[in-house]
Amino acid sequence: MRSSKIPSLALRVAVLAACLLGLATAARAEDQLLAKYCVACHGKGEPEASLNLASMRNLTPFRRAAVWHQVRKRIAVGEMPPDGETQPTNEERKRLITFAEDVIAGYTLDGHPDPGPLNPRRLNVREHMNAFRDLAIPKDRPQPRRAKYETKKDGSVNLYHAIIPPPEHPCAFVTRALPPDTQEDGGFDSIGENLSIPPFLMDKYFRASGKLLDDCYSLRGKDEHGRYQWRLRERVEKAEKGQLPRGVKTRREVVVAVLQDFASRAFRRPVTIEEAEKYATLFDVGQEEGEDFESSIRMSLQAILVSPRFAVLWADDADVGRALLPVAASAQEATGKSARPTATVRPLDDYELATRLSIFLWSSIPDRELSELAEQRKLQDDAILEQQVRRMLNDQRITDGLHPGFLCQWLQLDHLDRSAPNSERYPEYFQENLAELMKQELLLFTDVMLVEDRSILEFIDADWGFVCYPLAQHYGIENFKGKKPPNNAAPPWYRIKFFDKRRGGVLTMGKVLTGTSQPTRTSPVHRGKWILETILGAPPPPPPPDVDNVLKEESADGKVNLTVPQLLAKHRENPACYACHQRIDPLGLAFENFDPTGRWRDTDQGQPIDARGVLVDGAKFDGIEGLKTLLISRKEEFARCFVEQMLAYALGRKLEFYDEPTVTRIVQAVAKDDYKFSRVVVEVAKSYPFRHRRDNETRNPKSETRNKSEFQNTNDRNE
Amino acid sequence: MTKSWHISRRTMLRGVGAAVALPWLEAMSAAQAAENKTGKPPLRMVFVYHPLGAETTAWKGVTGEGKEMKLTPTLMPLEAVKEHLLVLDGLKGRPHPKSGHNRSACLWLSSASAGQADSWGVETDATLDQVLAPKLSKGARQNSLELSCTTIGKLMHAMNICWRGPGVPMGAETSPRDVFARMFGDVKEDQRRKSILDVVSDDARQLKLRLGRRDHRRLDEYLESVRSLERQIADFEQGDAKRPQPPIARPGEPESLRHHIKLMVDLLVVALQIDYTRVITCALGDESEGIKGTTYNRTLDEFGIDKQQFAGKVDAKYHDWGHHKCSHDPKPTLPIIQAIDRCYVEHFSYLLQELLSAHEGDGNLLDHSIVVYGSGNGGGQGKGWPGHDLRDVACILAGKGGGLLPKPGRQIGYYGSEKQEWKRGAPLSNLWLTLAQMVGVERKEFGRSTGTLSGLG
Repeated sequence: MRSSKIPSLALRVAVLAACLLGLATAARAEDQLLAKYCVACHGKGEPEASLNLASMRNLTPFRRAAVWHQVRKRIAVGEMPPDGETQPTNEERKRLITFAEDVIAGYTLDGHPDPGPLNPRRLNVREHMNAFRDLAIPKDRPQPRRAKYETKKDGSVNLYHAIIPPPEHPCAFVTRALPPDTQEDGGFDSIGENLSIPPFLMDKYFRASGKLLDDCYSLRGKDEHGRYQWRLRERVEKAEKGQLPRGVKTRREVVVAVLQDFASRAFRRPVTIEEAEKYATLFDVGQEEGEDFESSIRMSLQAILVSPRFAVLWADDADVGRALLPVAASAQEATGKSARPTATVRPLDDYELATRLSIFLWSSIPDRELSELAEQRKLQDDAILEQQVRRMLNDQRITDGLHPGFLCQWLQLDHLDRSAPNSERYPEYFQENLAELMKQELLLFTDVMLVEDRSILEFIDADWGFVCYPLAQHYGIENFKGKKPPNNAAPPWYRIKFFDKRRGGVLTMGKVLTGTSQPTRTSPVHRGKWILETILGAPPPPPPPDVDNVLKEESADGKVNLTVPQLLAKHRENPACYACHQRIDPLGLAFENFDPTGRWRDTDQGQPIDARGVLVDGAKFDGIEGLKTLLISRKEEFARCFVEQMLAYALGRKLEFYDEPTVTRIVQAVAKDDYKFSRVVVEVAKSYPFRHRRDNETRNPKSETRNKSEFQNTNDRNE
Repeated sequence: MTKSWHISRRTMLRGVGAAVALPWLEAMSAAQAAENKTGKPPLRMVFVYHPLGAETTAWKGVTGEGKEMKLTPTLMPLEAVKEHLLVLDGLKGRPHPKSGHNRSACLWLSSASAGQADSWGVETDATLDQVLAPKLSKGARQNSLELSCTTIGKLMHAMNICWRGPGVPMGAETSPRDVFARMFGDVKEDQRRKSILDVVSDDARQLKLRLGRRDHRRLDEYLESVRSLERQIADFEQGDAKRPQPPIARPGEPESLRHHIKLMVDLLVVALQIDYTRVITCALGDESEGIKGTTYNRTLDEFGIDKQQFAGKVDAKYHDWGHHKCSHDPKPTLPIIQAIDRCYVEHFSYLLQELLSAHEGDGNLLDHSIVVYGSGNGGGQGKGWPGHDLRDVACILAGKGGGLLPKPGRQIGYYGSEKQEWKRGAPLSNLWLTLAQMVGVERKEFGRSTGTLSGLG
């Protein structure tokens, strides 16, 4: 045994050495390229953008991959080296990119992608509201959706259980009691970094939970026969007046049992009798002070509702005894540097996974079925996980969860909804209630994508869609069969087939076209930016400070009435604007056939519209039909963007370079399943980072933030 | 477990008693003693934020001193209180973050230095009010109070002018009702809350213990939030002295922007009167207001401005006037932006008059306060439009600050004599440094300060 082991060990050492040598020589070749083209600016001393490419070897694998990620990004789009500097040959560029990709792919933790941190965060307002609803109101049964969107006899669509008209949320008071969540442009409200707890929030938590408990006892909680409909109220009443269960001697034991159950639901993991006792002490306090049963137990319930175990996600790490072994980064041997020995990666425990699923899909707490599966330790099973995701997608709660949380925020509905055209020039927009109807069109479309589990490519182009009478008139739909409704507040909707690519999909919906326009004219810049952000996943950087970023309505020779494309062309003459606007403008100009209210037009200010365009990479297209065809032909690009956004929403953090392999894997699986919407959701839920967490035991939890800031340019000229 | 809970609860209560309640009481008595000794009312500081920048000629045209001071049309609403003003001209805002001026509200009071970028790439830092609050508010019920008169924003760097540190906004109260309830809470409700707080702060501590050295920022914030509420309740328990009768009626829901600002200003004055706190910030609007696709465009109606006078241009929106149309072709829209600025200035004037009419000691509340009114956006010298430039930010100091600003009723220019135009002017952070040193906070620099401002004292 022993003798046979020695050569093999020697062999291993030799192989390892060879590998190291190979890697080292490869690195040297890339280093030479960096030295040749980059290090002059990004070198020792005071490197440009604080990015030092001269001393990469001393970096941890994490930092090294992060830096190479930046390098690749800049080199791939030709941003670096900047114009005027010596440019690498195409081969050299390719070589650097390939190497960078290898370095990034080589950064793994124990052979898996880095799942990223899962830092504790508070519930956002939507989640808070939904969790209140699920704690207080419904009986704990599945609530399958009955929306079918079938066509009725008169040709209109059956809106039973549809996304419109939205019923008032029973806990809508939460949105008024809590301060609104902040978010970044095009971001999601689930991003943990944004969800800090300001000092006055405790006061608001008390107000919101107080209101919930008030409502339990007020008329709101009763049905038309005066019976209490709210489950919480029912339980409290039963605890106070009901028969004592067998084996239970005192009323107080019943109280503890109620609290235990309530806390287990609110805290999203089982709470022991002993822990429940802690909240029952408040009941005792009430009783001692002569309060009645109701007010006494109310204190205990309110404590549970304002507890950090309810309001803060991912902080309740009950499995504290679990062995958490530090993992080594795979690239460690190659650099000889210790790789963040304090990071630990572990799979989410069953209850965490149940919570993550319910937060992702319902923006709420898990229901009984999920909790039971977690208790039976079945949720980790791929088949059961997928079955649960599909069940949850078909549950009524999705209409307050993934639909507003992901679909609407992804399409930036909130932003789109805040622009309106000029009321003098476009009076019909206001007379016909178009703002609201256009929003409903978008909601209906996105909901049908979900209900019918359609291909996500139909977001770009679909041969079907919804219109109602006023919209059909506005869009100029021929052969529209519907009748003029008595009023435009809630007209019947019709599902129609489109025969060309002028309509269909979200791109050409009135809401999008209006929401990205100026009051009196179109804005190809905003339209282009919207496409880049939502469809292509390549948001343009903001304009540099202090530039003249408004289109001058007059040209130098005093000629007015330039068309928007002419204005933009002038704008692009400025070299400071050109770099980004050559990416933005052509995309937006493809929509020039739509006026600021989304109506089709063939001329603008008396001139025929030219909606031809060329993308930065040379691809040509003609108008919106051409652009849609082009985007569909690049479906992988869109699928990638869509997956990235959903993954970010689900993980509650911005994606990092180490998420790339995960995204690629999901995109491949989605492509295999005809780009079905549910496939994206299932694959996100099954992905490694969704089911694992990296816990950093850092002295400074901000250290990762620092990394990013190194690439920030600062513009200090003015001070 | 039951046992351990009782033990931990006891320890916790002891812990709280030792760590929070006692120094609090001591601090309070100390401050009161100091106050009694000198017989001087404490210094108050109020910061009022004018969003999106103001048209700057308003700040340049002021001449004369005291009663002879001649105000510009925009500042005319201040006529009645002009003797109490120091109009500062030639100050420069801190450069906007890369993501644009609509993220600059967070930089107004911090002028954060480079290299402190938070996770969004914006360089945030603790703001002046938070730096001064622990010293000034010693003895008051709360360290500080943050108010905002707008509920339409979504961008954290645009809505929050008040930050505890890099990446951590203080948030702001937008509901006048809630502010009122905070100052004049209900005794019974507070007793209930106190018992509940004991239990849930123990929850937070246990969670924190379990997290160990992993990220526990949110739990620290939660505990801070608990402490903030505990303090409020604790001084209610001090008795009637600290639970005064409300001098104003319980406010209703704001009906318009003007109404909202008025309600907030009333509460602000009351908060100073009853010594709820001595440091208050109040944002009159949101920095991203009216920016296309970002938030919501305010209309002239909301400012209570008669649109007839601007017939023909009424459909353009705030941001377009205040910022874009104006910054590139100022002539036609200048009157509109001036009218909007005047609307904000009117409320500032109302605040000053309310402070003036509140008697305290041998004078009035304004004598014992420093009110800072301003914006983080400026305009190009001589060109006079508000917007993307940083020069000539709006800035007015009001009040005597208990003698710290003995000679108000003047205009002071800080252009300096630099040859290059863009180098002229003093950074706003120099004012913050000056104010910090004035009230006795030992700072050698503040944000991007290059020195202190002369001529204030």
